[in-house]
Amino acid sequence: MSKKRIHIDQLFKNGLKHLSFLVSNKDLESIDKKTEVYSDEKTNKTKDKLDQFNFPITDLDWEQTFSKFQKEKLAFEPSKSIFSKLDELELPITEVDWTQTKNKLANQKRRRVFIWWKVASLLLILGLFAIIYKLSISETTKQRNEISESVHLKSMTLNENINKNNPSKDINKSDKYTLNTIIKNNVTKPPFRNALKEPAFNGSSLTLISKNETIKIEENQDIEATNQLVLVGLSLFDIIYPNLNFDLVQTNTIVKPPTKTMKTQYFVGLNNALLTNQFKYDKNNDANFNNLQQNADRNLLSWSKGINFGLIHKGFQHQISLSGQQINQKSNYQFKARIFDSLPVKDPSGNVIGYFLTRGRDTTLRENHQIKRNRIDFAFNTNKIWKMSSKINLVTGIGAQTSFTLNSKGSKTLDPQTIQINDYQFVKSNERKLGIHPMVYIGIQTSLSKNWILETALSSQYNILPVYKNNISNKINTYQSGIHLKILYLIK
Amino acid sequence: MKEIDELILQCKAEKSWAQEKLFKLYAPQMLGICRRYLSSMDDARDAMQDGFVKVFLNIHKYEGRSAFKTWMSRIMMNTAIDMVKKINKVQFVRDDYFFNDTNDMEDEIEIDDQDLSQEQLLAIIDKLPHGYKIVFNLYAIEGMGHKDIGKLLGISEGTSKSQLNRARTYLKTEINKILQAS
Repeated sequence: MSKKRIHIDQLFKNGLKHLSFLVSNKDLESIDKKTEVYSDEKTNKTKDKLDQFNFPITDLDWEQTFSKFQKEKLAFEPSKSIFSKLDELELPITEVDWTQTKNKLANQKRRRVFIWWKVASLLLILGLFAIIYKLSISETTKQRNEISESVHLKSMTLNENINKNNPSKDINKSDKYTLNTIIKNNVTKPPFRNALKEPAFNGSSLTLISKNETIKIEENQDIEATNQLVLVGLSLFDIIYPNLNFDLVQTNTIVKPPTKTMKTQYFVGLNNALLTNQFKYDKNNDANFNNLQQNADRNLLSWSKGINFGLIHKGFQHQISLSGQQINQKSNYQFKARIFDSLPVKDPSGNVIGYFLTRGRDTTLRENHQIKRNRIDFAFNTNKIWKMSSKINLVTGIGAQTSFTLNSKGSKTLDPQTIQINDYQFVKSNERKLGIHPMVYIGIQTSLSKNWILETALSSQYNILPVYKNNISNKINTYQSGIHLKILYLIK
Repeated sequence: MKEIDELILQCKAEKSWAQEKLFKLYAPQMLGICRRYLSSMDDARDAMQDGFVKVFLNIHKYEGRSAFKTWMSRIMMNTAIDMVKKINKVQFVRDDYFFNDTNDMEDEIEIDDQDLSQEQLLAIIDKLPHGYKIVFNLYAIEGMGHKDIGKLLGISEGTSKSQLNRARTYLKTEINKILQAS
């Protein structure tokens, strides 16, 4: 009798996986007999029997199975199984959602373009500065070369005179000299003591300074224009110091500064301005309106950019400018409201016919809204030019600006008529597109080169026309002030 | 699938009709994602709209390495989380008392699947503090690991685990309350 070793888990799939027994051939035969109904080689009759081998199940079986399954799931990860319902959570959307998304997308695209425009403008301005700086450097070098190449009528050094201990006969106190080059040496002993006691330079053409034992000579504008320095009444004999080298040219004539011409100069320029916008609320307005809107207002910054054209004549600068700006008016409204709990009131058939208000409580509602206005400004102003130094002017002036709102967009705003939040499109029709702004202006002009001027200025302006049309009783006027940066090019 | 691919192509070409179609196709699901993180329906809508704006602006970056819905869901999830942080100034604090891995089995709840509706589950999740809610959503529903959650939120793995455990404890109490009441 041969013995067969089989795994019990072939018979019992679940559990006792590693348990096995030794069985005899007799056992095997009897097993075969019992299991012959499962054999594929048996007759079709047996197969039919097997096919019909069903037990009835009840709902309880399913509930218990499902319960066990749930329990297994929970044992594995409780939170995951319970909240897996939320994985496929879908909520209804409305047409408004798409409209708002579309608007946001358009705004975002515009903002991107605007940012690129800002970056490009900044790069352009920086580039202009770099070019102007380079031009001014090369111009200065050119001027210096011209000076060194100038023909000296007569030249001598003070050093030579001192060494000889006998001042040159050619040099007299009353002579007049043109100083072409100055070699500055570090001085170890107090120089020019005598010279400083007695002004070495007569008149206001030059100033001689001795500080930290180093010589500095400042040039004034007129002298610079001639590329020469004029020493008037220089007392050479008072200047006693061996290491100081002068290269002097005797001219015996005073180089006169060029006479000022009252020529009219025209200019064009680019204008950039960072402006803040404020509102002035009329005292006669509805107090509630003023209170709500004033509390909601957020400080508005806008950036204006444009072009300038003008002329300088007899110490006055007259200019017109055309610029554009986008003003984003952001409002953060806060309302106090009373909310009531309610109980439905039903008729005998169960239909709700109304609500019975029970308990009330105060709450604060908040809403953020924004209005964007694109406008163009046409300005004229006249400035008085005050010369501060050869390269710097102070400009002060007055002017007027006309603004025109090209378009405006917004979701909602406080309606000045109803004093309630309303769609902006209803309020928009009551807004005035035109503005007239008197302005004051103060700034500094810096000469970068012969033709280029950088103007930095502060301005303040007030729109005398209210934001809303005359039929609206609540009046608001706008203030605008800010800093301007202009680059002007003088046309010859 | 071909229809979606075609829509994506048209969206890359910034065709408005394609953007609208894509929006209407996926918006309900995306709103569901945002709602899980944000208790207010208005905020959820706002996040969903912002998310779609990001999707449309960056759709050219989608290279098809993952399913489009997965890519978009990720954007929505990040947008919603950013909004939660912005609105509520969320801070994730590690609590060592809850920081152990053995708590998992203690969180078993005997419950019939039909007992709680989606609305009830949302209501329970809404009660969670914002930090717990984000971590719980990411772990239990999005199926992210603590390491990935840590990277996404800029917190340590331990903090993520501690937040999750706190969330589970809280949820267990809340669910039990509801079950007992019913």
